[in-house]
Amino acid sequence: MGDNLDGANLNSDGFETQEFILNLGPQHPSTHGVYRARLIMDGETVVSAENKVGYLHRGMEKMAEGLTFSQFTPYTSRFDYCAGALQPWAYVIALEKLGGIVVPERAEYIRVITGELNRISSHLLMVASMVLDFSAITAWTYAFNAREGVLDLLEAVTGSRLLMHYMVNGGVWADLPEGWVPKAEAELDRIIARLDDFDMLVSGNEIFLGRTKGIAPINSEEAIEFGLTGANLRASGRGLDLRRDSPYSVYDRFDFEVPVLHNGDCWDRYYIRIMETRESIKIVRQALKQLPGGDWRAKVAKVWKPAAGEAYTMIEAARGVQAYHVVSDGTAKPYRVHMRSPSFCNIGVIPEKAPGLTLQDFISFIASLDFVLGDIDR
Amino acid sequence: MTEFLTTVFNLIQGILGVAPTTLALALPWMDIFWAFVYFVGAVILLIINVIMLIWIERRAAGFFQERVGPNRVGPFGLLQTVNDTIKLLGKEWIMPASADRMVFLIAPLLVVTVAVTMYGLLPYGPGITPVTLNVGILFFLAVSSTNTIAVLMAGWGSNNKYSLLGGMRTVAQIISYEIPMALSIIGIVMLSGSLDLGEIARSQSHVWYVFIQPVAFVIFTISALAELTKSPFDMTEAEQEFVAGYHTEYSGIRFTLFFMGEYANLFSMAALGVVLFFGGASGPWLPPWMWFIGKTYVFILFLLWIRWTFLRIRVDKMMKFNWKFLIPVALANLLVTGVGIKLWQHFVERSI
Amino acid sequence: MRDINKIAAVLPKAEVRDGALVIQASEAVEVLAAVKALGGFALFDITCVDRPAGTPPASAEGAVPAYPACFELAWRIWDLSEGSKDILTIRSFIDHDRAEAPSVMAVWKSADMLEREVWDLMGIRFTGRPHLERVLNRADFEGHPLRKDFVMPKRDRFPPASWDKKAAEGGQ
Repeated sequence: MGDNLDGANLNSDGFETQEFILNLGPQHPSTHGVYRARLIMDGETVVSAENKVGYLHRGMEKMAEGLTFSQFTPYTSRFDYCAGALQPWAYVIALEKLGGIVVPERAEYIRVITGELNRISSHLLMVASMVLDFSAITAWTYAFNAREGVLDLLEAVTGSRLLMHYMVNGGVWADLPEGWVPKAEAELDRIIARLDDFDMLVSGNEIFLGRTKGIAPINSEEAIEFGLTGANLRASGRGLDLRRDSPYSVYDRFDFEVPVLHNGDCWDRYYIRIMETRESIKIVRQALKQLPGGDWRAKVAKVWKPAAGEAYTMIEAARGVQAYHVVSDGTAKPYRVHMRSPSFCNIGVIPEKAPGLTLQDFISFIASLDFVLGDIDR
Repeated sequence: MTEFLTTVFNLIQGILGVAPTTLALALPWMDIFWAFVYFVGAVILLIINVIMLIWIERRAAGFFQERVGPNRVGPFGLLQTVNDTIKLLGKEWIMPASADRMVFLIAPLLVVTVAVTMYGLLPYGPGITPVTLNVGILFFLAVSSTNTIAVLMAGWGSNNKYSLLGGMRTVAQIISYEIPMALSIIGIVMLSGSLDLGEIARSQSHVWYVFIQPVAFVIFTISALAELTKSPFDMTEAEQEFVAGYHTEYSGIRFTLFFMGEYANLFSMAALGVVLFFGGASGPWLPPWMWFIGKTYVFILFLLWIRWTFLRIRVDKMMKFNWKFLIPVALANLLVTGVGIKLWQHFVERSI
Repeated sequence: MRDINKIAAVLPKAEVRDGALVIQASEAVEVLAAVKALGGFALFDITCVDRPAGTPPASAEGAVPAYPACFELAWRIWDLSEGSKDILTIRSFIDHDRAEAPSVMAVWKSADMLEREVWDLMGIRFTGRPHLERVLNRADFEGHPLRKDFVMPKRDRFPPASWDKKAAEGGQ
């Protein structure tokens, strides 16, 4: 305890206490990666918190300047490694915008299917790891059982389970394998049954409610002020979803709800993921039904040079709104690639909301924000 | 089996009965010799138990979690724990440079000492109670409290913030939950009229106390989970908050000792529950010690079932639950029990 | 999308160029506060492009006049009003000699992380805000990697020599 700083002070119970610094992370079981929170603690109560990130910084934006446009596509699935198939979407949309490429309809549908499946797996991972932070190991296996089914489906399509480099400039890498569609429909039934099991086991549990209800509430003004997006914003009562509000790809052809919850506490942030998973399953079912034939990739030259210019594109990724700013100077390599990652902006709210929470509540708070360090550090 | 055990016991007694005269040992030496025999027996029982318990827990957890669990080493994976223990023994002993050396080293030893002591008090069956004490239950509770000190020593001695916070939580938790546990036991003591564990077990020959004292049983089970620091009360080693709580800095054999102590306590606490509420070693057909072990293991499985189902409760809610709910209920239960006993004596026993 | 010309009309210090508002960097706080006062806007992103040669940043929609050598700093404002979820871009051009811009953290708190990122990678010093620290690179990293004149070191020694010195002095 070498670094006790402040002098002793009296707390409300009249005990003499002393503040100390607790470095939560970068190696800690529940920081979900190499995130570090520098906490000043008074006993088990957080006095102030500070984000320390960058342990996973790989300089991806710098790397992009040395690669061609399509060479960089696989790297984009390395950012948010929990949603590897969904990640490159904003980037490829930017390229298509720069190059004026028209994506075949079948490719758009396949993108929606894989993207939504990936969102399901990512949300299942989030709820699973959140309950794991409350040591509900059994519930965790239930959610992972469901996630396993999704990953098997994605593996059959993309060939890998984590870093699914599948969306490419002009379409997707490969067509859906033969006989995959009926298999997927059957698997979705199983996934929804597993999700129901998980929901029943955890969501109404008195202990779980006690640990999440009313913890670190974020109202909609604060959420917008701090740039929260995605499920975290929708849990705070602001129903913004790019898939519905400014549809990209073929999202305007599906019938789905955008769930909104209003308390913005940890429980809402948890439960909105369960609700969204159900909606995503709905979308996948519709997309599988409507799936047209035809090409799955537009013709794109091997050495591809878009016109000079810039594109700023946004998609609704698994962790929030993700944007790419791609600048081209007319050569085969991007002049600048910038990525607005949702996790990076979402953690900005931590220093504001952490003071006053106990260490246990702080853990549930950061778990409910659902950040991925690959997405933050890039 | 009973005959065999009795024969062995008689044999040992025979040998030792001759020994004082032939070896001209004084009486205190006899006592020390016997103590040694009991100690070795308790240690062997403890090790076998821990190995079995870890295997049972892992297989049961596998069952609850839709997976297989360890099934590769030995038949049904029974030797997995042996394998793990050997692996742990071979690991490096790491001690933080700034640790409090003595405290850090003594803590794991103390945990095992406490566990062995408790094994010596349990009535495994008629004639196989290592130490019969007329204040057995009191002694049992007192010894089990010593665990708190060991955990606090480990937390303090490690000089690690996570360890310290884990240790502090343990003290708060275990000390608080000892109160409802003791209160739930007092009802049993009133009914049986004895503090001797063997006597309590024998007094249930007609009806188990779990049927007379259901509330006390529920309180006992909850407090036992808290005393054992099992989920939903696993605050002390909440790995998601404190990495591993008080044993964060321990490795190798010292970590193994903590681990053994934990499972040994699980057995002794469940055995205490069996003695208090399920009639101890009594039962038809099978030999008593089998009944005792069997009942204990069923009770342990029940505890594990709870453990693998629930989430971890919040610290403040846990304390509130104890002080504002469990203790008042336990006191009310005590009052009802006392009045009930008096009424029973006044009306029923007199009329008989 | 709300009409950008209408927005520009209430902001006297902004002109419309290439589908975006162009302002002087020094007036960023005023302009952004005025935009915020319109309601339904949120700061979404801050992007920065180093253009040492003054490359014309022709947009996908159409060519625009060439810019001088500059850092092109852009605040991307999210239009959250009903029926539109588009981005309003507010651009400014910053000299290489004085790579400085006022912080808009007082307007939108989401600027905190975004400004730190731009400072770290691009070296735009945001003034008037607390702890402008590096966020992705380590604290004693030298240079700003996304500037075009950044020279990639042959081999980055890790841990850096300065850490050894710290350790020798018995620091953390």
